[in-house]
Amino acid sequence: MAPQTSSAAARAAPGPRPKKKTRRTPRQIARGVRRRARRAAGRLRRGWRRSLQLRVVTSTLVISMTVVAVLGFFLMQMIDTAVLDGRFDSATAEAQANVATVASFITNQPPVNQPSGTAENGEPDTAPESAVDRAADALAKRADLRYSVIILNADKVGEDRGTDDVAPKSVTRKLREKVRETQDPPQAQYTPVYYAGRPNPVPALAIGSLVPTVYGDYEVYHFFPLEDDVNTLSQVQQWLVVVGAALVLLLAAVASLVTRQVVIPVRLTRQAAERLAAGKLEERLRIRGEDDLARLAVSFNEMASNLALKIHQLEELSHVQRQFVSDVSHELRTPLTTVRMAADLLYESREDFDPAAARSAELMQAQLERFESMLADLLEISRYDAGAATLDVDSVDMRDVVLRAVGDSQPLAERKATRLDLRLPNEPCMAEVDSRRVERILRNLLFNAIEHGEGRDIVVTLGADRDSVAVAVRDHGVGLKPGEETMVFDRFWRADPSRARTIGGTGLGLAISREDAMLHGGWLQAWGLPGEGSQFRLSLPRQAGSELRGSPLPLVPPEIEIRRTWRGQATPVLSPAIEGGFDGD
Amino acid sequence: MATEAAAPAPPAGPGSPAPRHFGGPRRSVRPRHFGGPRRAGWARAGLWPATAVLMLVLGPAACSTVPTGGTIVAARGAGGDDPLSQPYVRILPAPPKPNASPRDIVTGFLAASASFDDPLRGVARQYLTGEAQRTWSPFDARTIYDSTQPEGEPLGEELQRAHVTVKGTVLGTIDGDGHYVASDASPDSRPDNAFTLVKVGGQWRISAAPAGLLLSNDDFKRAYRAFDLYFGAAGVEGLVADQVRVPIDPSVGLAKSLVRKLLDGPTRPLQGAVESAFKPADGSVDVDVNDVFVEGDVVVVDFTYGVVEAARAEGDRRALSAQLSWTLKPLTEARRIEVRVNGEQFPGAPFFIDPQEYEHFSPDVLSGRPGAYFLKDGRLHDLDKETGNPVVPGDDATEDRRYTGLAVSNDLPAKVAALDKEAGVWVRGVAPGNPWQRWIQGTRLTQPSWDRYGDVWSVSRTGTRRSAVFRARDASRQIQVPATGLESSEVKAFRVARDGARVAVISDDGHGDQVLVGSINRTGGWAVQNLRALIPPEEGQRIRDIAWQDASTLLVLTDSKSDRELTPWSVTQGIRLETAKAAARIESISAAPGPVAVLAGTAGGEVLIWDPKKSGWVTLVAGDAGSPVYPLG
Repeated sequence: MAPQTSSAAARAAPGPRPKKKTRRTPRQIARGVRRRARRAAGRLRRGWRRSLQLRVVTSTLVISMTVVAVLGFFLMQMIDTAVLDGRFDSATAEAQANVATVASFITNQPPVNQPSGTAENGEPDTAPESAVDRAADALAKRADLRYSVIILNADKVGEDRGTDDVAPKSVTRKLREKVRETQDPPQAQYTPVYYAGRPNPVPALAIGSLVPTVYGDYEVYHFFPLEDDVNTLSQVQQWLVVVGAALVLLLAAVASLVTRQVVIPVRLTRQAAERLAAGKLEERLRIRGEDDLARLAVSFNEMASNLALKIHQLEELSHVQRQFVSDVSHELRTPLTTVRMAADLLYESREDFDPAAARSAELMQAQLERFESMLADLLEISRYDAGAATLDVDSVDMRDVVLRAVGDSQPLAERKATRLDLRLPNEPCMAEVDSRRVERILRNLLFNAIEHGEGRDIVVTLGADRDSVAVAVRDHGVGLKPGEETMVFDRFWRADPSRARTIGGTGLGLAISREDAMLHGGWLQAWGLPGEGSQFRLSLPRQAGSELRGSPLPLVPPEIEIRRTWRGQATPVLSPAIEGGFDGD
Repeated sequence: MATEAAAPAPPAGPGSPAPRHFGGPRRSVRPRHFGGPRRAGWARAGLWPATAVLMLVLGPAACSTVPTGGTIVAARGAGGDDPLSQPYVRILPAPPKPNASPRDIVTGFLAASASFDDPLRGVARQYLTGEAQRTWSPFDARTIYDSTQPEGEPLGEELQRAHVTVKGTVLGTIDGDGHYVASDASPDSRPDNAFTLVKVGGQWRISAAPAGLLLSNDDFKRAYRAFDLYFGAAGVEGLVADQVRVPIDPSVGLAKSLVRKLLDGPTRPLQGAVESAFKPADGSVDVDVNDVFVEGDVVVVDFTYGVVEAARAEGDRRALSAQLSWTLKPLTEARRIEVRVNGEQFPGAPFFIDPQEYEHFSPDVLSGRPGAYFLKDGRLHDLDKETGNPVVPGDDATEDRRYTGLAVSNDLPAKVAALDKEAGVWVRGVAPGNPWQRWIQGTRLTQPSWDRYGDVWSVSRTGTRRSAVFRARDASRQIQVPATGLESSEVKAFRVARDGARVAVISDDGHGDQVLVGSINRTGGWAVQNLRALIPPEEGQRIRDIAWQDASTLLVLTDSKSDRELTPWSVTQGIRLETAKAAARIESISAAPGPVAVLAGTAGGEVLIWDPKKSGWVTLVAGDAGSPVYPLG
């Protein structure tokens, strides 16, 4: 409440700025961006804090994504390994078989003087004569384009062969060196294989073996293209990604659904509780099913009906009491009138009595006046309780109202040797109020201040802004103890029960004043500190019926506030003086 | 805590390890929020993912196994999906090694020049000196030797020059158009190919090399593939086969090389005798092939825009389709062919070629089981043992003139041409009312030969080693056809092949009998041209008869030193195809394509048939019959 008041004051303070189209500096732009980002972050944070569903879905998403990613990674690794291992084994076996073939071809050179040219039997002879050609031919036929073979011989010239369109640069230098270095186990390497006439290499498994012969060392390199495997694996990977994404989304949807099923009844319950708190006692929840949420609704409904019953009973009781007070007051008036008339007679003829009797008549007269005013107050307050109080609104200058009230209080102040310090604005301060009631409030406040002011100065301040006017009455008396700021408005409340009422207060003045303020849609609030005195502030809207958003005057006197800030203390949160009067919630 | 609460909720698959990870002994610490354990609030939602993921990931893994039963499926391997690619071996060119001997340099040069990876032979050129690099060209000639083992002279220490020779028998040469010509040089002639080497920067380099490529037989077999190109027979719907050697260029691909060869047109022996739909004689069309590839079940041939021009007329389009489908048949088998233009669909409608539609374009012309005929008593008999060799129905010839040298046309009804003793080729139709007519008149005519166009051909031997080739379409006119290679020799037999483009001749120009093969130029003025010896003259060799078996196979009946034998020769490749069959007593032969047996006639009037099961001759007609013939050929 306090921040709201201050913010309203702050908003009112600078007044409307003239709208001027000015060029914004980069710093301003940056600040604007930052502000906007901050605002967005704030919205997000608010949304995050407020929405259980969002939190659950997000955490589900995060967790399931992590799990899916980790599992997918390992699964892919396993599939990769399985596919490539199988390929590797079969390739190695094939390569070894081929190497044996090559070795047998090369070590068993054919007889040199075989008749060449056309063979005697039909079709032209396509079988080559040289050993390496025959070996390469056999390998090419066996490979049938599934893989490619390169045969190299570093010792003998013109013995290099390749099958199909494999390019010789596919044999990496590292692999070649390794093959020539280590004779026995074939060496394998994953390497790109190049083909003549094709610009892009293909991932392949290269296996190189050495075939030592008397004609030199033949190196046999096999290239098993892994294009298909790579395609398969990438397809599997794609599928894995798709399935994983679908899974994550599914889980998010499931989480969202499940949370929704829980959150919606809870939200409904909250709303019902809020409405119940706002006084709608007939609010009930609909019961569906027999689960925990249904039981919650049942309990809620039971609670609500019990509450309603109790409140109703209390209301009844209160009503009866008020009626009783009202009736008693009414009933007392008639005999009181008679008593009054008799007392008046006695009072007028007190000169004729002996002094003791005359003193009694005077006392009776005074107490009768007090009794009468108390009865009037009781009747007034019972009118409020019955809701019969009405406003007689008129546009008046608040300065006149204050001056009238101060004028009424002047005799008492003089009696108490108290100086009234008036701080009124120069220009008229018009407001639509019931001047009689406002005067009564101010009178009450002033009487109160004089009574508890211990003769020190009383400051009456009138403040106004566009929407509201406020009158603050500051005294420098004993002040209020913490917690008493609200109790002062209670009926028949007394700060110190031992103290006697010196000015004949009925104990209902502040209560009536508050009712009056509320009738105007205004606030009546109190502040006080022991030893610092107290301040009562009446804030009223300028237009009757409009809602009061803030007060032109601070509740805490400025000098106290300054001192407190200077001491570095935070302002204690001021408890609401009027329940529900202007609370925005 | 999320996972613990999840454990009881989802039923895990059988054998799935998923549930074992959860629950377990810690299950008792399950959180109790809102009252019941079943309503664990968001915790329940949060535990969903892990379980579900595990179920989905590990569940199928447990179920997916290799089936142990099921239907039987055809196990076609994955290798055969691209018929255009066939495995082959190629030589990998290697640059010269440092400090190599002259012999190694020459060997390396020969090996590098046998590599067809680079048409310009960049690697082989590294073996040459700068001067030789300028003069040497791989396109000059391609000569094939039986072996290319270089023999070097011994080197002195200080020598700056070396000579290395490559000796070997020339087996043949490859023309620029890919036509292989087998060499008829005798094995004794071993021309030396001398290489001169000098030292350049301390390394031996070749300064003088024989022109062109020297290929060993291995290189030739490795680097070339023999393919038949098919060209349109002049004027009719038919094809003529032309064999070329296509070098395997790994960067181009065999199919593309083949199509490109087809676009280049016929080789020299057939020029003028055939037509190419891709290359009309007027030179109005220029087609090139972009790519040949397999797309599903269709072989796509992508041409440049010229193909649209070439296929504008319906006849041209059919001829083009026939040429393409027949030429690509060894690679595409029965697949359909789609012609595209620069990667896009043929303008108008997609251009698909179904090879089945072009079966009848066969260069063998005869299809199925052609009947054979023989003359007996002046009447034409069907050679059919089961029905007793009846007279051909409708043949009511009554003249009892003695005709020899029968030839039957492929018309319906057939025409019969025969030779009589009085110097004439007589022709009559088999249908009734067709008397013998003399179509060709001349002295000492050879046995007549029909071509597919309905012309009858014969050679008149006008004097000693003087011959004139005649053709006639009817009795009104006989036309002499120029034949430069024959006019100064004695022609003993003249047979036009069934495709109408080739001729086979037995001639003697004084060196003995030889078999010549040439073609008939029908497009640019009539001529018998490009005659080339299939069987060179040899001492003691006498050639009795020749007969076309199919478009490219010629049967030759020879008398060698000891006995008489029948040998099939491939005309396109210039080589002998099979071992000779013994053929004693046989005077004349006739053959037809397909599974039809070879027929022979003896001097005694017998008709024999070759039985491949018994590998021997079987008598069909006992005696007094003329030589049996199949239509055409």
